[in-house]
This record gives sequence, structure tokens and C-alpha cells, in this order.
Amino acid sequence: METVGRWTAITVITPMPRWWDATLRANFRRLDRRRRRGRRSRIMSNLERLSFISFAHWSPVRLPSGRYLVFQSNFNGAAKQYVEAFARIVTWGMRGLWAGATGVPGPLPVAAFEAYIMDQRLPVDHYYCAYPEASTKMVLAALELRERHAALQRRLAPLDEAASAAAMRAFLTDNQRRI
Amino acid sequence: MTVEQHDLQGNVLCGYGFPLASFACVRVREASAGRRLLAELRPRLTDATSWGSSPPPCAINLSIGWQGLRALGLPDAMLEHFPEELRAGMAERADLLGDADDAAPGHWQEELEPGRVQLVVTLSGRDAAGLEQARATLRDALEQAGPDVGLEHEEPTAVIAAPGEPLAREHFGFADGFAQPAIDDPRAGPYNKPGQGTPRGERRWKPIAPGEFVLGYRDEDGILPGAELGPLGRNATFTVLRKLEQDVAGFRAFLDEHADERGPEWLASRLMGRWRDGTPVEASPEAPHPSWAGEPRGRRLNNFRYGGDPDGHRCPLGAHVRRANPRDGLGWGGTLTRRHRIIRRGMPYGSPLPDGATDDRADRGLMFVCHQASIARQFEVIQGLWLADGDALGLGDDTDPIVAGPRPTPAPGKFTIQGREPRFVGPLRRFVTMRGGEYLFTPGLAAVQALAGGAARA
Amino acid sequence: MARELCVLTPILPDHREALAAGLAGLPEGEASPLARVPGTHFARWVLAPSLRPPMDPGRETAYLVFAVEFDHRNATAYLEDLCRRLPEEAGRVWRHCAGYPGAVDHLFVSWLLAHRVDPGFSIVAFPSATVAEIREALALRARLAAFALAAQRFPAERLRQAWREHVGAE
Repeated sequence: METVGRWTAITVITPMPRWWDATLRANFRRLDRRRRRGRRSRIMSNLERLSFISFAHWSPVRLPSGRYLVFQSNFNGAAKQYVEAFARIVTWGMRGLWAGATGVPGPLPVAAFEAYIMDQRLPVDHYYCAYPEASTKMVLAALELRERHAALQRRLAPLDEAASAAAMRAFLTDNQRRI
Repeated sequence: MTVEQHDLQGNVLCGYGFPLASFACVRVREASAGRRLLAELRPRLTDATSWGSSPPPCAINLSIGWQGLRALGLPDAMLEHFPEELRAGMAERADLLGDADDAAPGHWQEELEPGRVQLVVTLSGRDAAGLEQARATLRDALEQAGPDVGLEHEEPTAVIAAPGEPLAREHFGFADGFAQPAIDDPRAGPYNKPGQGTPRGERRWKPIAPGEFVLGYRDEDGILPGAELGPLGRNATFTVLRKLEQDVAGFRAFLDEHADERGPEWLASRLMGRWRDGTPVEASPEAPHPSWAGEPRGRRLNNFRYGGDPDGHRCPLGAHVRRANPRDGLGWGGTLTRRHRIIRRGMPYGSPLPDGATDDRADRGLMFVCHQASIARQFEVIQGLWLADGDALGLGDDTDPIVAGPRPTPAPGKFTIQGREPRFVGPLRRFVTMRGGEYLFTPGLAAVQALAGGAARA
Repeated sequence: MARELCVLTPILPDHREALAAGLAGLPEGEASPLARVPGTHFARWVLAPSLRPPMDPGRETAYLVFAVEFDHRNATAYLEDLCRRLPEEAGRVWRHCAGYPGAVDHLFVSWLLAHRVDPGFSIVAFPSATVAEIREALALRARLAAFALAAQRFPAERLRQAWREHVGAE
């Protein structure tokens, strides 16, 4: 595991039998179709609420030596807490991804699942991030602020002093959780 | 099964409530002398058996750091089963804990510098005579053990007397020590009061499994912590000791500087999340309720939740008590907090600074002590993820305004008081500076015997 | 708009240590060679020492994992940019892998793409933000915090001035 600023990289590669590879690919295709139709799953909503991941991927791969599930994640905070939150809050999501993979314990009890991930994670040889001192939450807040700030700037120009001050104060109030 | 009180050391699950304590740092220069000391101390150590209505004059307890375990000559085969953070020692975790700048290990007090603390003998006294008696007992045991062990240093502490007040205070003036986890064990102290456990449903509280604090019993996930330590772990706990210097004059000046028309007391209550007398801001944002502190079972003092205040308009999201024990404040009920609780047994040190007095630069603060089954999962999550950082709470780089220093970022540290008219307070300064300490193993009494090599005192 | 690429290339026998040493020697942070490709959100190189089939401990192959999230319109565009910006470093890393075409050119790009791992299921927190937008947004956020601290209590006539000072021109 490697860290850069607020980010930690995890890579875990798990062998899986043919039937799980086929199941996963079918599930991923289905999820993709749903996403394109704009349908959100409860798993995605919970994951968003947890919001300490920027990018995470579960990719099935076929190599000469067999089939594997490649899991990669960029996340904030301590690895154990990350795995714990996943296992407790997105339990069914974790089962749906790893249940058929070889040697992966179920997400509950947390200790066994945590131990598996911590044990099987590959050391990261080189890790780069373009915004190392910002977390997912900070990036999301900043992006939202940027949009709202642009809207505010457009409104401010023609306003007089009092109205301008009121608009700025209202902006701080509306965005107190993002600043 | 209930916790074995005759084997567990005292002051872990149930506090002594003594007004005086001294933390004696003992150095072991030779393993057999160290083991002899343990054998001498063993019959004089205080266990967790209830005193009923007659407390003894004093109590004596023992904790051992990694350097101490090695100095006692514990074989590698046993040493390697201890948790990683204990083996690393607290200094090595400084980055995680936010012990930076003036609080960095390079600046720690000489007697408590990294790797220095080996054995900590906690002497507690119900009065000055009691404490002296405990000291005499330790001196006697040290003499019996010979010249290759020695008392290096003592950190004396004393509860800050507040006549007429039901709750003790710490140096910044806040009531302290009364909010502890409720433990699911019939004899684990008087703490099973509403609000002390894990939030359950809309109004109830569930006491916490003893294994969260004592090895050898099931924890909140039904697992037995410390199994890898074998019998050595039975009825043991892990203890964090931190000497936290408090800049009382600086804190008061900050309050005066940043107070608005609502006054410095109002600001202080927002930074802490409680009014000075302990009234929780979440339950009573407008004013303190002095009567709450004296209520039987602390009916209202701790019985509150944050779920109805997700935006922090009653109690700010970054307030100290909200960070240190988020209750249901992290979403999904208490799921993400129930395994991160600690039992605190800290004691103030140094003379109080009278109200309105100028800074006398005297050494004062808190000898912070906490017990848990896993330092990494419990203390370090609170200190490292919730106090010395704000991101887990959606507060980015904003750290705890009272106990943490600001993060070393280009932007100044700030504290937001959320509301219809929010206030941004800052730049923040450091008011609490870590001066040294260690991660310790607090064994059960049979384990102390085993560590002594079975050599019993005649 | 962030897209991802993950490539698994088999490492030549006896080349693992040299590759590991080479990766360990790369400068970190903003000095990382990967930083030279603008629009790179995250990137990693990971040595997977032995991917063996579950029942066959004898047949081991080590793989180099390269995973990146980027703003380019597709993986080919990203890889072409990589070739332009860090040909030396890319060559020094990937020459330890079986099938490396000998130079960091269009054949190299095709070779890597041929070893691409299909994306399966992804969680992406900010799918449409570019690196530049994110950096700009973070800098603005810091300026707004400075404004909030400094000027919050100012009367109306001073507020506009403070806004210009801390946040930037209107």
C-alpha cells in the first residue's frame, strides 16, 4: 500500500473460477446498461455517502495462467477503516463482487475480510496523484463551490454595495459546509 | 461471562475516583531485577474488585511499554504477538496523531522522550497521606529488587478542586471525566447511564461489549481480542499515556479575541460542544443547565444524539466532543462509531491559573490516559482521523479547535460554527502540546506474575 | 472527464528485481515522470509478483500493473501523450516486460493496448471534472476560506474590497 498526501492506493488481484468470471461480466454488463439508463442502485448511493473513494475499479481479466479479479482503489483515510466501512455499509456490494472469487472471506465478520485485504494487497511501487493534499470530499466541495462562485460573480457585477455585501454573506451561508 | 475483577487491574473499567495520582516511570537496567520488581509489586497491585463503601487509602497499578517488555527479557516468540502500534511506540505514530511542530517527538520532555518510558507505576491516593503510602510501597519494592531498577521520574497529578461543583474540571475550565462508555458487564462500574453506550433506535442505548476494552472477552463483533497473546493477554488492556501541556492563558486570550456579542463563554461552548459545566450544546444550545450535572444517573448530561442535527446548527460539526464521540453522527446509526470508543482516566497536573491572571508560564495540563483493547482501532482513529484531521467528518483540513494544532497547510486553520448565520473562527492556534508519553500494555495480575517469572514474594 | 486504463504486462524472467529497483528510483510527487502528462488524475505502477493459477503452484508469472485515470478522450490519446512526454522513463520501465517492441512509439502503444484489462465495475466520485478544473476549484476554495476568516464581520463598504483581495477580481 502506498500513500501520497491524503491518498492511499490499494491493488488486490484475486484468482477466480470460470463461472464467477462469467457471472461478474454479466453483472457488470447489466449494471452498465442500468447506469446508462440513469438508474442508481442503493449500493451506489451508499458508496457516494461514504465518499472517501475517488476512483475504484473491479476488472475481470483472463491471463494464460487463469482468470483474475483486479481490484484497484484510490481512497482517503486509514486502510482498515476504509475496508471496515465498505464491509459494514456496502455488504451486499462486496458479496456481489467477491463471493465467487477464490479464498476471499465474506465481508462479515469484518475482521476476516479486513485481514484478507490487508494481507493480499500488493505493495505499490510508484504512485502519483495530481491533487495529493485534497480528499474526495474536499474535491467535491471545491467543484460545487466553483460552480456556485461563477454564478455569484455574474450576479455581483451590477449590484450596489449593500446588495453586493448581502449576496456575499448569503454565499458564505449557503456554502458553509463546503468552504 | 462477566469480567474477572480479581485479575483485571483496577481503574480500567471502573474509575477509582481518587483525587490524587502520580505516574512513576521506572527504568529496568537488568532483566532479572525487573522481574524481581514485578514479583515484589504483584501482591501490592490493586485489582478491579469493588470496594463497596470503604475505599482503601491508596491503589497501585502497573503498565509496561514495549521497551519495558524487552527490558524484562520477554522472549521474541512472545514479543512478536504484540500489536504493531505498541511495538512501534507512540513517537513513531506522530504523523498520524498530529504530534507535529512543537508537539513533535523531537521536542518532548526529556524524561518522556521516545523510547524512554519503560514501566509506569500509577500511584493513586484518596488523600495526600494515601498517596505517600503508595509511594512508600513502591520505594520498598524497588529496594527489594535491587540497584538495577530505579525510579526515574514522577508526574504528579491532582483533580482540580471545585468546591460545590458535582463534576471535576480540567485546566481550560470544562467539566471532564464524566462521559465514559457504558459497558455490558454487571459489575463494570457506575457508568451504565443513558447516552454512554451505542445509540440504538431512536432513543435507546446499548452498552458496549467488554472485549472493546479488556482482552479475553468478546468485543462488539463477537471476536475475542488478544487471542494471539495467549494467557498473557487475559484481563489485559492497552493504555495510552500522553502528557498534554495546556496553554490556558492563550486559550482565554483566543476566546476574548474571537468572541462576538454572545461572549467568550458562548464561543467556548461551541468549540467544546459542551458548556463549561458539562451541559451538552446539542441538547441545550442556548444556555447551560447547572442542575443537569447533579442529576442521578446523569439523566440529561449524556443522553443526546446528533442525528437530528446533521448540519451542525445546534452543536457545530467540528466541536471537540462531537469529534471525540460522534455517537450517531457519522451516519448509519452508531455502526461506524461503536468500535472506536475509549475509557479515559486522565488527571490534571500543575496548579490552576486563576481567572483573569496573566500568563505565568507554569507547566500545567492533563496527563491523558485511556484504555482500550486496540490502540490502533480506538485511540488512534479518534486522535488521528477525527481530532487531528477533519476529513472523515466532512471538514477537510479543519482540526479539533481545542486539542489539536492546525494542519501544516498553506491555508490557516479554521473552525466553522454552522448556522443560519455561520461564523468562521480563526486562524486557529495550538493550545494543547504533547510533551511525551507512550503506548503501554496493562496486564492482568496473573500475567504480571507470569512476567515476573513466577517468582513469588515471600 | 476522467477515463481509466489498466494494463497488465508479463515481466521477463529474472527482470523483476531490476524493474523493482528502477521503479523505486523514480522521483515522487510533482517530480514523478507521470506528472509530465497533463490531465493525469492518478497513476500507479504495481509489481504483481506471482499470479499463479489456484491449483498450480509451479506455473508463476509476475506482471507489471499500470493503472491510470486521465482526462484524454481515450486510452490511445493518453498513451500517445505518455510516449511524447516520458519516452526514456517509459522505456526503462517497460523494457523489462515480454513483448516490449524495443522503442516507445506507436507499436509500443498498440502493445500496451493489447494488454489492456477491460473495465468492469467502477466507482467514480467526480466523473466530469478535469485535473485543471479540480486544481482551480481547490485553490478557489482556499481563497474563499481566507475571505471568510478575514472579512466575515466587515461592514458592507469594506466587504467588496476584501472580496477582491482574497477571492479575486469580480
